[in-house]
Amino acid sequence: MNIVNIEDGYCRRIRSYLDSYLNNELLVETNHEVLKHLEACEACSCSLRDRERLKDQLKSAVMQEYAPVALRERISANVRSDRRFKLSTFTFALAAAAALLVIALTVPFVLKSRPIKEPLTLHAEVASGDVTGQLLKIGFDDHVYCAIDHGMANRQFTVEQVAERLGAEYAGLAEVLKQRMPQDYRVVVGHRCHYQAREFIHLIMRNQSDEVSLVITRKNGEAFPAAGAAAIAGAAGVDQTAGVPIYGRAWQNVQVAGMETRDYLAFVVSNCTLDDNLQIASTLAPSVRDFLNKLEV
Amino acid sequence: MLFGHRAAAEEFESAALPHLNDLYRTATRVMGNRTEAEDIVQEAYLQAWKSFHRFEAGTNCRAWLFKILFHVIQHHRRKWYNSKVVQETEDMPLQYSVVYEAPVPEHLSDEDVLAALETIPVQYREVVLLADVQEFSYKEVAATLGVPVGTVMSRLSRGRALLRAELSGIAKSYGITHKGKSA
Repeated sequence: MNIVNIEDGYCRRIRSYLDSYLNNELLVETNHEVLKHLEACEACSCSLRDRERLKDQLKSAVMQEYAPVALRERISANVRSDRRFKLSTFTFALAAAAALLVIALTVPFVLKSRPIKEPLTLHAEVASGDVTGQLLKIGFDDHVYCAIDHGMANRQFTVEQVAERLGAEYAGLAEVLKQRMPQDYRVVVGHRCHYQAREFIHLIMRNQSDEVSLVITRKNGEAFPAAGAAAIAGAAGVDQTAGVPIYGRAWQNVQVAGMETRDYLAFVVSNCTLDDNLQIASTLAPSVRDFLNKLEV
Repeated sequence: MLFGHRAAAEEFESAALPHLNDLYRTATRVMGNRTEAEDIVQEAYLQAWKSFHRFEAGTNCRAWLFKILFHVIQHHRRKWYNSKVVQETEDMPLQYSVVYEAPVPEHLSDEDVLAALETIPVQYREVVLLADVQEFSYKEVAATLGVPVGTVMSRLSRGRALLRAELSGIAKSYGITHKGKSA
C-alpha cells in the first residue's frame, strides 16, 4: 500500500486544512495558500480527491436508509391521540368532573341561544337527498379546512417535501399535475391531511390569481348518481371526450368539480369561475383517473 | 379544543415528519441498531410534539428535531451505560492518534464505508454524521450536541482521520491498493 508520509511540515499543515477547504470554511488567505500548494503537490491533490470521494460515498451510503412506514404511522398515531396531555388519574378525574359541570351549566343555554357552529369558515348547504351535493361537499370541506382555514394555500413546499409528504404511493401525482396544468400554475403543496375521520391526498396549485386544490380520498361505499353528470358538465360546456363524468357545484364562490374511480373520489376545488374550474377538472380527469386506476389493481 | 388539537397535530406533522428519514438514518448509525434507533426516534418525536407549542414557526425545525434526538440519545446512554464507558471513549483520541495518512482506495462498497463508520468511537461518529452527512454547520452541531464549537472541530477532524484509517485497513485486508485491487 502506498502510505504517504506527511511528517513533512508544509504538506502536513496543508492537509490539516483540506477538509475545511472542501467545505469552503477557510479564510480567503488560507484558501489561496491551499490552492497554490495543490497546484504544485500531486500527493496533496490526491489526498483532497480521496476526501472528496469518501465524503460523497459516506453521504450516499447513509442516505440509502429510510424510516420504516410503521414508524411514521406510530408517530402520527401518538400525535393524533394527543399524548401531550397525559394526566394522572386524580388530575384526570378532577378535570373530567370540572368539564361535566361546565357542560351541564352551559349546554342548555348555548343550545337555546344559538346553533352549534360549524368549525369551517365557509359552509356548504346541501339538501337532504342530494347525493351529488353531499359527495362534492367532501372535497369542498377539505379544501376549506386545509387550504383556506389552515393557510396551506399560502405555503410553498419544495419538490422533495411534496414527494415526502405524499408518500411513495401518491408522489407521482405532482408530476401528473405539472404535465397537465397550464404553464402558469405551480404545485405549491402536496401532503396528506385529515378532516372528519377521512384521509385526503391534497395537492394545491397556484398561479398569480387563483388557487386550485386536487383533493383525493378513498371511498367509504359512496358513488355519484349516474344521472347528474352529463347535465351539469354539459351545461358548463365541458368536453367529455375523455369519457370521465364530472360533477360540479359551487358554494360561496368556491367551485367544486368531482369525479370517481372504483375506489376513489377526486375533486378539483378552486376560486376560479365555474367554467374554468370544470375545464381544469376535465383536463386533469383522464390522467388522475389513470393514476388512481393503477393503484386499484 | 379538539379542533385546536387537530390543527396543531396537522401543523406538527407537516413541519416535523419530512425530517423523519434524516433522523432515523442518523439514529441508526449512532446506535448501530435499527430497533433501538426506531425507539429513540419515536421518543424524540413524542418529546418534540410535547414541546411543539414552544417551537417558533419559521425557525429551523430540522435543527430543533436533531437537538431533541441527541438529547434522547444521551439520556438513553446514561440509562444503559455506566459513566466509565463514556469516560473511556472520551479518552480515545490519545489511543487512536493518527500519525500517518493512508490513501483511501477507490473500490470500496457502501457496506465497507458503513462498517468503517461503525468502528469509530461514537463521539466522533456523531459529529461526522451531523457535519458531513447532514451538512449542519459547526455552530449547529455544537448546539445539537451541547459542546463548544472547538470540540466539534477537533472531533470532526479526528473522526474523519479515523474513518480514512479504518477504510485503508479494510482495503488492505481485501488486498486493495489505492489504484485498485493488487495483482
